[in-house]
Amino acid sequence: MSFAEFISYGFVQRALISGILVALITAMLGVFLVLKRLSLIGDSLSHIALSGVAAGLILNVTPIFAALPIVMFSSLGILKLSKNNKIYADSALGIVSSAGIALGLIIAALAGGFNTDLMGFLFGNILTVSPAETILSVVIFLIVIACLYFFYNALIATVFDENFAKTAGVKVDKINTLLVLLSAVVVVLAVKTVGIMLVSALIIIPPTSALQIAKKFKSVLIYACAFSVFATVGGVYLSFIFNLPPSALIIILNLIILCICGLIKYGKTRKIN
Amino acid sequence: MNIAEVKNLSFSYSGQQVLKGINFKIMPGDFIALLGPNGSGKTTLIKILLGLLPSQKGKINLFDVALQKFHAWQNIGYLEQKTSTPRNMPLTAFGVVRLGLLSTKKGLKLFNKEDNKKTDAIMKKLHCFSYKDKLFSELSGGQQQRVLLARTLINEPKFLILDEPSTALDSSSREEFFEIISALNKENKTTILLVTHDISQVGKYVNKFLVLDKQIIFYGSKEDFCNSKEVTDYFGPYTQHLIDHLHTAGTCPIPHCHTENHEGELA
Repeated sequence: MSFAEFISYGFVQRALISGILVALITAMLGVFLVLKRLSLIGDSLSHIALSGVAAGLILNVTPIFAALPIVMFSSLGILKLSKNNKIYADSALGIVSSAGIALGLIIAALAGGFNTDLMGFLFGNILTVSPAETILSVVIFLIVIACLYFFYNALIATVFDENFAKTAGVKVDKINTLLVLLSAVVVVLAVKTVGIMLVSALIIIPPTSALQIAKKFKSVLIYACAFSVFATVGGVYLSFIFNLPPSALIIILNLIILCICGLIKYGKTRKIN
Repeated sequence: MNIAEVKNLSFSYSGQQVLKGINFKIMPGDFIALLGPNGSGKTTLIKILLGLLPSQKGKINLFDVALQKFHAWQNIGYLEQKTSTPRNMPLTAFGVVRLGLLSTKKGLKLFNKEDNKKTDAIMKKLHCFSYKDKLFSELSGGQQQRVLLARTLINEPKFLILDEPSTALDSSSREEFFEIISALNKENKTTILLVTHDISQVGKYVNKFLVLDKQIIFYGSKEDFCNSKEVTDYFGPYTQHLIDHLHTAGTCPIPHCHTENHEGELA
């Protein structure tokens, strides 16, 4: 199948629009989360999304819309737990993550009957994105872009050094809250694209690849977005050619890019030494 | 106007009293050395003063404004003992210094060309312009400290709080560092609160000592420090050693002190 024929299908167009937007925002937010060593928040929130999706299926509400408030509320819980000096941030993420899976499994077991639908959310199915979900992707994309533009320097200062940011008048608590809430929204959106099990890869891998080769903050953002979009479009296209799950191919392509970036960095370091 | 005023401040952490009944005022133009052993609460005091830790008991005013209502952060420059910067942060030295201008920004915190010029100027002044395009994480400890000092000074703050700022510097850079901040104190009347262990190095620059060990042991001028009963009682046999340090650096402020009291040690 040629690429032109491939993109002539309506469901493919929706998948690509939604996938590209998700790829862009997960990559951009991922840069801040990876540097803040909060990248596993995607993992925890996606596990919470499992309970939200299961609750949506049992209540006959669109699963993404059911998951959204639950995941947003949980993201605030993670922030609160990680700010508590008695619990380490990674422990807080682990606690919320396991709670999400446990709740999701219980709801699924109680309801029975919707295992196929739940599997779709576990491993994602970008090709079944509905027009409403595509519109939601556009809206969330615009919100995330606006927030990143307006709070760009405040976010960098917070990631670089929270104590300094506070004494520079940055409302660090509000910036952190914004970051986790945006992450929650993006995770819910990405669940449809790559699934609960793989969503954190979209947040972690493209920024990590970009950090291997780019030196300036803006370059890291641009590279991360480019890698993420390339892997998403490539993954969807290859899924048609090889009849394989698009979510898995998206992640595999991201991993290949990471390996290439790692090799480039290794080569540069060897040359310098 | 007081630069800072601390009234009856106490702080405990995990049931342990870290600070107790702290009272002091910092006046414009003061250059204060904050001394005390490890664990004496120096960094905690500074963090509470800056609102980085909540004060559990007591009152703090900055520039005569209650800390909770204080917003003029551009008047304060803070240089931490060590920063917890992400290892692979993709930020150049220039980018780090320019972040110092955030406190002057209202609303949207976006930079303009004027900010870039200001950043270049302070980097030239502090001799870190030559590596402005290098990644901050790739600089040496001394270079990083110089960049962070440039970030701290870019707004020409009226009150500088420096928490053991010279630990990463070699001896010549350390001397230069103190010359820079001393010039700010003398020429711009910048008020400085400096946490340090090195009394001999800072003795010639400061005009006051604040000795802390969970509570204030001594707060006053250099002259009073050398004659203080509280200092003698606290440091015991080490008092003479401390005052000798001031002598070695040629900074004992007491006239004729060398000949009358310490001739033997200095000979």
